Amino acid sequence: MAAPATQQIKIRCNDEKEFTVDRDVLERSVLIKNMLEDVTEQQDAPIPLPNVSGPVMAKVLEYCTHHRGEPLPSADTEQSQDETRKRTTDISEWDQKFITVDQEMLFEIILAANYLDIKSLLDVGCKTVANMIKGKTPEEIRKLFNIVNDFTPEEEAQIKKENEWAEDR
Amino acid sequence: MAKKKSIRKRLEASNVWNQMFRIPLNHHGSRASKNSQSTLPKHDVQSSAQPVPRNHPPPKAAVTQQSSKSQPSIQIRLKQPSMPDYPVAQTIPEDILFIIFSLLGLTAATKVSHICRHWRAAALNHNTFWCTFRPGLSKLHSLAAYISRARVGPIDLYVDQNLVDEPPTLIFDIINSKAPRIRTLFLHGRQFPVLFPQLIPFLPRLPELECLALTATDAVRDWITQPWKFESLAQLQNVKFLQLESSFIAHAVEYLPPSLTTLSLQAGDINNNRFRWVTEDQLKLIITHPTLENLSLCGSLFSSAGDHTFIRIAAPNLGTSRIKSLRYHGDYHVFANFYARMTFSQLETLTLAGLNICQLSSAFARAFRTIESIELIRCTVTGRSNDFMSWLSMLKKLRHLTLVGEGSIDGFRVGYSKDGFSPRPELETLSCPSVMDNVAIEKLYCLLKWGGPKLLMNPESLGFIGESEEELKAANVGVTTYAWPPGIVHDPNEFDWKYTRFESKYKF
Repeated sequence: MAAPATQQIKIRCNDEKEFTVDRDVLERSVLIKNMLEDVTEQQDAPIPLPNVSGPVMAKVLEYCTHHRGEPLPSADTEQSQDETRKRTTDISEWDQKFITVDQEMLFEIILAANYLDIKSLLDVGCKTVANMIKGKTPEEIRKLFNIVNDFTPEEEAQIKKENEWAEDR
Repeated sequence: MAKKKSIRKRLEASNVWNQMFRIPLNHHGSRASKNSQSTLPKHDVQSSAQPVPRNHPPPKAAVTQQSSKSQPSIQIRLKQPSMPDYPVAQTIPEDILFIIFSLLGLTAATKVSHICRHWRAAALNHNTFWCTFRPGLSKLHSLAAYISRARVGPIDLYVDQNLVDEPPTLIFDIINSKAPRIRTLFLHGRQFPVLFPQLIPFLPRLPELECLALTATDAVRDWITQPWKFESLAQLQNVKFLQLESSFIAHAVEYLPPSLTTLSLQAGDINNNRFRWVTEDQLKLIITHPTLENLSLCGSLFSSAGDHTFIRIAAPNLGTSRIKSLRYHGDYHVFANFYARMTFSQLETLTLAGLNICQLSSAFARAFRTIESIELIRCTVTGRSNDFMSWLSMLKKLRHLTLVGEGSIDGFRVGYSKDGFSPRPELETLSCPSVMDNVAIEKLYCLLKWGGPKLLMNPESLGFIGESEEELKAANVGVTTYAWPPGIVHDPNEFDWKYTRFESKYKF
């Protein structure tokens, strides 16, 4: 007996780019999973994802496809995962390769993971940024991320005082 | 048949509609509501940093509102926010920055607050970064500045006097300023006793205090003859964890907090007659404390000075202890003649460190008959070492035996013979986590021939037994490693009290 066909879901990104994706892949996103569970009737209209662009969604779907079938974190495990996350910035080999992208894409993936509520992807992105920051001075961090130093002179003075406080160990 | 709702109405009804528009995760991973942010401080006292610089994306609430009001159908998309002038790293939501900063550790909070106004706001607005103070701050006045940022919630305060170069009196002002919220007070350093005449009577004014540690005070020889008054400890209703060191132990043990569950007395390796030894009566007070479950007695104040005080707690009427976990760290004095006429009726875990174990009597075994787990850390077994093996044989509930360091293993081997120690099915694991050479491994190898307990060994020691997983499985051998836990603990409930403060002494 043939296995039942996987339901295909259409999504549309903010640049009109559309994807047709297996439901179980899309359900890595808790946001979309909740939505699909709530809407029982079949609908052909694509789901609008106004905060995600096509190229970013393509990367997100690559991640979701690779991790399809893995258990989603339950509410009970989330807190302990938060605790674990604080202690380690280790990233698996595949995830590391996946997240090797330019900076703009990296942050867009993080934002998309946050919006779509894909916790594991959010973790991978945040750990990557944390690893980039580690061991660098504020000036080096600004340079790395092209961040503008927009402190007022008063704030600069305060920061100068604070510089005596603690070292990043 | 009732007409089905439109997709949009269904989405709105189920709250999924709102979720489709950006409502970022809070730091616990759940959706952040407006109210959930209300407990976080919004502005720093020290700085005028604004949370969002110009040209940042519109506020989240506005996006949500616009979407729900202006969307006539699911086909209409939101107006896109204009492209920011700032790079994306400078516009990323605070909640995400918080996750990233958390991964960097507490000490990085200051650094990331120096990047730009948006990052600074993200760091300063999260209480978590500023309510735990660990050794590492170079100035006590910086500690005062940190603490001013911890607006809500309990404060865990750890200060290592060795790392600061300012008078310790300042710390009292800091404690005083946050007294109602201090949950942990850890003062480490030889200069702190100067504060104690003022601080100790003040402690009952810390109503949330759960964990108190006054350590590294052993060098204060001039203070040990002072008439210390520790009566106030008895008023600390919520203190669950207490750690004291050296000169204060004997003065404080009669005033233990009423709800104490973990007591760690660290006497170091002092062998100076000017110290006041813990008396037998005082030890009885400790051991029979009604709520105490974990007891760590370490150092010569309990065993040396020629009379082996702890070991001679031999009075038949000493009573019954409710202690579940006992750690005894000697200073290489003998663990001998332990008549043990008292009963540890609920003891589950016994850890002996740095002891020469010998002349164990059967009464000793009876005193510890409930033990399920024994750990010997860098012990030696000498003299009539068969006693040791006989003792193990008498502990019928023993499930796990851990031998750390070659001395412990050697002692095991000395008394190990088929006649002297029959392997029992109750003993599930024998762990030897330190790296051993072939000679040491050979001492244990006879166990395998007998099909005794599962032997857990350091990966680097496995080669002697076998190479492949199948070989090791056939020999009933597994892998274990030994990791020292962090030396400083903030949560009394999670405190691995057994090894704190001994990390540097017992590298192997």
